[in-house]
Amino acid sequence: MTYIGTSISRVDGPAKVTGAAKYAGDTAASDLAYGAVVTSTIAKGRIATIDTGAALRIAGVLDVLTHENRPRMARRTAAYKDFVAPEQGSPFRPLYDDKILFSGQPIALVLAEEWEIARFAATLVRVEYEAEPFATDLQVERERAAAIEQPLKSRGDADKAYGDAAVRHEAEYFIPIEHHNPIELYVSTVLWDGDGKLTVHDKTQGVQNVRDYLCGVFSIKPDKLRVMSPFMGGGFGSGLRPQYEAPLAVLGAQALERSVRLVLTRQQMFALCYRPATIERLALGAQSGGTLESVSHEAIAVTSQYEDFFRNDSGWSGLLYKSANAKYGHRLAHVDLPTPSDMRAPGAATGVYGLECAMDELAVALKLDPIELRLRCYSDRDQHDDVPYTSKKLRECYRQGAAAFGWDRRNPEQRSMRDGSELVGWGMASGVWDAWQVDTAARIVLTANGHAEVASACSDIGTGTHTIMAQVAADLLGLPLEAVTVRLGDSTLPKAPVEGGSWLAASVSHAIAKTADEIRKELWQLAKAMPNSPLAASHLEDIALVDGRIIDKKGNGGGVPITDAMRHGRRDRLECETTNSFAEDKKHARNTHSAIFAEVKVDEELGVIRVTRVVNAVAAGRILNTKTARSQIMGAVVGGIGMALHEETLIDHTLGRMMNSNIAEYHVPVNADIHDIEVIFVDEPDEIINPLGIKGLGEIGIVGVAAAIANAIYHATGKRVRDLPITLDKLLP
Amino acid sequence: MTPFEMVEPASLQEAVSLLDPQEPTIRPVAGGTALMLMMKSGVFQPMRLVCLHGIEPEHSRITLAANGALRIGAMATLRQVEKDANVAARLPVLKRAMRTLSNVRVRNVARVGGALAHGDPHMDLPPVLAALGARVAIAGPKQSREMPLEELYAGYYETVLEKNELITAVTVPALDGRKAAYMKVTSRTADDWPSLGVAVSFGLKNGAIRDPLVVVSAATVKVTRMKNAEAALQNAAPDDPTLRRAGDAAAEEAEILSDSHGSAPYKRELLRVYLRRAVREALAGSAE
Amino acid sequence: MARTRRKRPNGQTIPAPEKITISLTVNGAPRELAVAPWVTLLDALRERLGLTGTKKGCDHGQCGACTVLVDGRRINSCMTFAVMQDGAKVTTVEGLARDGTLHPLQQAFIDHDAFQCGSCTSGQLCSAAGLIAEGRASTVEEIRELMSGNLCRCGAYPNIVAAIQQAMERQRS
Repeated sequence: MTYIGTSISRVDGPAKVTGAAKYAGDTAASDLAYGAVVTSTIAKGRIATIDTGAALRIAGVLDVLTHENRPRMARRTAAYKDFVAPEQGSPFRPLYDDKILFSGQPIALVLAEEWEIARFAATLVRVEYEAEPFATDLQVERERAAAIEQPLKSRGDADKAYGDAAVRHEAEYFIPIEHHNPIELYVSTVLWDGDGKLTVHDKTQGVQNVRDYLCGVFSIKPDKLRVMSPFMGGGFGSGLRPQYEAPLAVLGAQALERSVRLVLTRQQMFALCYRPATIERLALGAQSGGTLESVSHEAIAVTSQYEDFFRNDSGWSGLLYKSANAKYGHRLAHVDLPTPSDMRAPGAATGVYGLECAMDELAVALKLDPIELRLRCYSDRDQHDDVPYTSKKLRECYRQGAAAFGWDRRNPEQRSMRDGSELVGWGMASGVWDAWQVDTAARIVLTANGHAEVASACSDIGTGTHTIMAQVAADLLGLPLEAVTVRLGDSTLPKAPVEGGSWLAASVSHAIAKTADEIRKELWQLAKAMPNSPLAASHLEDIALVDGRIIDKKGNGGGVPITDAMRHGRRDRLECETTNSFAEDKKHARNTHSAIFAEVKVDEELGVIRVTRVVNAVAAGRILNTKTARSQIMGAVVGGIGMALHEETLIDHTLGRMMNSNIAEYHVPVNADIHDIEVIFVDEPDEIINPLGIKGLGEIGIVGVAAAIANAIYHATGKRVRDLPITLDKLLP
Repeated sequence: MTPFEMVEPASLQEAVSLLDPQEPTIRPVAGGTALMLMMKSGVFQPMRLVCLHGIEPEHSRITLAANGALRIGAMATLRQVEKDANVAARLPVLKRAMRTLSNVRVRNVARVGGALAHGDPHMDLPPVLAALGARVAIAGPKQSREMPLEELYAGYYETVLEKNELITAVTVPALDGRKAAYMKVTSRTADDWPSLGVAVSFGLKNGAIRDPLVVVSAATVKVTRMKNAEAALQNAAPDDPTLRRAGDAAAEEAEILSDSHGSAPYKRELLRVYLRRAVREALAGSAE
Repeated sequence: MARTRRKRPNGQTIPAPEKITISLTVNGAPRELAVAPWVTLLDALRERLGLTGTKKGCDHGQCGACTVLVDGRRINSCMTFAVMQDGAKVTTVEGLARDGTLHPLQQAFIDHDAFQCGSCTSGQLCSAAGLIAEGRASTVEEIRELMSGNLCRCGAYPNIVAAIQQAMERQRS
C-alpha cells in the first residue's frame, strides 16, 4: 500500500486554507432572501397570541411565518422521526403548533431581503404566552427519574459481593450539560430551483438523513430535493439529526418561492441539542489484592419531555475490568429542555469519567498504583456477551503510554510533587469505545485517462473523510493520489450513513474496497482480452492494480497499463457502484482502547489549574492516515481538557433558561490553555474485524481524558472533586 | 439591531455639538467594540452614532510632557499604547497590562477613551491607570474638566460623564521611582473576563512603603480604591505580616459581587492572595 | 393546513435605514458598495462582496473566525461596521495567496494539519499573518498567548502553533 497508513496531508487542505471550500452558508444565489428566527422566552406552555404586524411593516420584510400561517407540514409525528431519533417519543416539530416545549424554541421565521432587516423585524414580533410550571433541574428531578429497559444484563449478585468485599468505594460523579459549539453556525441555504425543486445546502453530518427527513415532513419526492454538505464546519454529534434550520429554511423557500438562507445565532444553537447532564453512581468492591468482586454503575441523566434520549453510560466496566458480579442501570429524568443528543463519545465520555475516577479512588484505597490495579482487573473478554475481542492491545497502551509519560517517576503520595510554587499531579485513566461498521455504498468512475472519481453520500466534518477515501481508492486502484477525486456530502450519491460513532472510516473504506475490487475484475477481463496479453493465463486472485497497471502477482513482467486495457476494450469509463455489508460476527467484541496520562500543575493558593502534559496511547486497529488520525486524537484531548476544567452550560432553573448561551461564558479551551499533547498509536493488527483492519477514531480520543485530569488533580492536591468542571473555587478549602 | 444613522464629524467640537445632553440614544463611537456588543444584544438601541474617526489626529497621539507625564489621546488604540516607546520605557506595567487585555484583534480597534468611558468593571485599563494616579480630561460643549480617573466611575457601567461630554485624554504622571504592578485572575479559560483585577503602586523610602494606591476591579461594581488596604501598607515595611494585613483589609472593605466568574467568598479569597502577590511583584523589579 | 399569506398591515411602511456608499480596497482590488450603517464588515464581505472565506462563528467577537486584516492589522470583522471602515485596505483569506502560490502560512497549515473542519481556519490564518507582521512573538508561549481568542473547537492548537513557527522560520531564512 502506497498511501494507507502514511501521513499525507489533507487532500481538501488547499480548499480550506484559501477560503475556496464552500460551506452551507457560503452558497450564493441571485434571488436569496434571509431568515431570522424568533424563539420562545418561556420553557413550557402555549402561545396565546403572536402579533407579527409591526415586523411586517418594516420595508424589506417579505413574510413572517408562524404556526398559524406556515406552509403545509406533515401531521404524523412519525414523519419527523429521522434515522438517529430516539426510539421512544415524538420528535419536536418546528413551527408546527402553539405548544412550547422548551425555552429557545423557534416560534416564528421572519423573511426579508437582507438579514439585518430580518434580524431587526424579528425583535418586533410580539408574543403572549400561557405559561405552565416546568422543571429543568436534574438534582431536583432525579428522584422522579424512571429506569429504562436496557440490554445490559447484570452478572452474579453485585450487592452481596459488594457487602462481602474487603475494600469498597462508592461515590457519585456529575457531568453538567455540555454543548458541542462547533465554530460554524447552524445554517441552511435552500436554493429554489423552480418547478418545486429544492437544493438544500445544510450544515449536517448526514445529507441523506436530512433529505429523508425533509421529504417526509414536506411530502416531497426524493428526486425533487437534494441535500448538499460537502464541507461541514464541525459537528461533534450536533449534526447527526436534522436541526430546525433546515425545515424552517424550506418553509421559507416554499412560502416565498425563492431561495432562502437561514443562519442561526450562537445563542439559538444552544437550544438545538447538548450532552445530557448526568449523575454517575459507582460502587466498586475489591479483594485486598486488587481484584474486582463487584461493580455497580447507574447513570441518571436528563432527557426532554418528548423523547427518551440515552446512551450506554454504565456498561463500559464490563469491557475493561473483570468482575464476576456486576449490575448496570440507567434512569431518565424528564425535563423541559430540548432533547439531548450524541456528543463526542456519547455515554462513554460521561460513564467512563465516573468509572475511571472511581477506579482511581479504589487504587488509593488499595494502596495500589492505578495502572497496576487496572492490570490486575484486566479483562480479555467482553463480559456482557462473554466473547473475546477481535483485537485488544490495551496492555500495550498502558505500557507505551506510561513509558512516554515517565510514569515510573511518579511519587504515589498526594501533594508530594512540586514545581516551584506549584503542586504537580500525575493521573491516568483508561478509555474504551465501540468499533462499529455500517453498510455503506460507494461508486467509482474510472476514465480511460487513468483518473478515478470515488463517491459516497457520507460526510467530512473535519475528520478527514475526503483524504482517507482518496487514499483507499488510490491504493486499491493502483493510481497516484493526484489521479483520484472524491465526492461526498451530496444526497444523490451512493447511500452512506450519518458520520458518527466512529463508524465511517471503516464503513466507507470497505465500500470503496469492494467497489475497487469489481473494477479490478473488469480491468482483468479487459486486459486478458488484449492480443498477446501477458495476463492471458492469469487467475483473478493473483491480479492486483499497482502503479497504474494490472499485474499478475504470480507472473513475471509488468502486466498491462490500465489505460491500455481500457482503450483496447473501447471503454471510455468504467463505472461501478456496490454496497458493502459487514458479516455479522457474534463471536467477537469490537472495540478501541486507550490509556491516558495527564500532568497538572496547581497554584495552591488560588487553585489555578494548568494541564501541562497529556499522553494518549490509542489502540484502534489500522490507522489509515497517521497525520489526520493524530489530529483527531489531539483535538479530542483538547475537548477532554475542556470537559474537565471549563465546559458547563448553566441553567436558570427559575426561568428554565440556559444562562451562558454564548462562547464567551460557555468556556472552551483557547490556545493558551493547551500545552503538550502526545499521541501514540499502538500497533494493533486485526484480521478479524474487517479486511482492512480498521476501527475508527472519532470518539476514543476523548474517553477517559477528563478522568485522567481529575485523577491528576487529586494526586496534586489531595482533594477529590467529582463534579465537572473542576473549577478553581471547588479546589479551595 | 435597530436602525440608526451614523454621522462622522471632522472635529472634536463638532462631535460634541452633535451629541445631546438629554438624548441617551445618541452616542459617540470610537472603536465600537463594546458598543457593538450592546447593540447586537439589544441592550442599546441608538438613534444616531457619532463616529469619532474623523476628528483631529492630535486626539490619537501619545505625548510626553516636560515633567515626564504621559498624555494619551482618547482616540489612541489600545494597541498604540501597548506599542508606544514612551509607555514601554516609563510605564512598563501599563504595557504589560495591555498585553493580556482582551486580545490583539480587539486592541487593534478599541480606543482608550471608549475603554475608559464604557464603565465596565471587568476592563483592565481603568484599574491600572487609576493606580498610576492618572487623570482624565473631558470636553463638553462649554467647558472642559479634569478629574482623577477613579472618580469617573459612579457604578456598574455608570460614569459621571454627561451625555454630551467626551473624554479627550488621560494623563499619567511620571512614576518617579514608584513601584507598580497589575494582576488579574481569569477563573476558567485564559481568555475569560477576569474575576478580579488588582493594581498597586507605591513609593519606597528607607524600606517602608509610601503613598500606596491600591485599586480593585472586576470583582467590584466599579473600579474602587482600597483605602484601608492602603492605610495598612502606608509607612510599613513590605514584609509578610504587612502584606497579609493589607490583603485582609482589602478583602474586608471591598464590596464584592458573586457572578459566573466566581462566588463572592472565592473572589474575596482571590483578593487576599492577589494583593500580596501584586505588591511582591511590584517590589520584585521583574515588574519594573 | 391551508396556506394563507399574511397581508402587510395597514398603515405606513417603516423604511429600512438609508444606505451609504463606501469604498474599500479588498485584497488589492478597489470595491465600492452601498450599505446601511448596521451592516458589519463581516456581512459586507460575505453577503455583499461574495467573499465567503471569512467565517461567522459567533458574531460577538468571541471566536475570532471572522478575523481579517484591516490596514495590515488583525481585527474581528464582526465587531466593526462597514461604514466605519470606509477607505480601508482589507485583506481576507482569499487575498493571502499570491499568483496561485500559497502564502507560507497556508502551506504550513496544510503541512502541520493545523485544522480539521476548517471553519476557524481563515480567521487563524489572518490572525497569524497579523501576528507575524507585528513581529513580536518568538516563543511558543508567546504564540499561544497572542493567538488566543481564535478558537478552534476541533482542538488543532498545537498544530496551529507548529505551523506558525514553520512560517516564521521560513520568513526569517
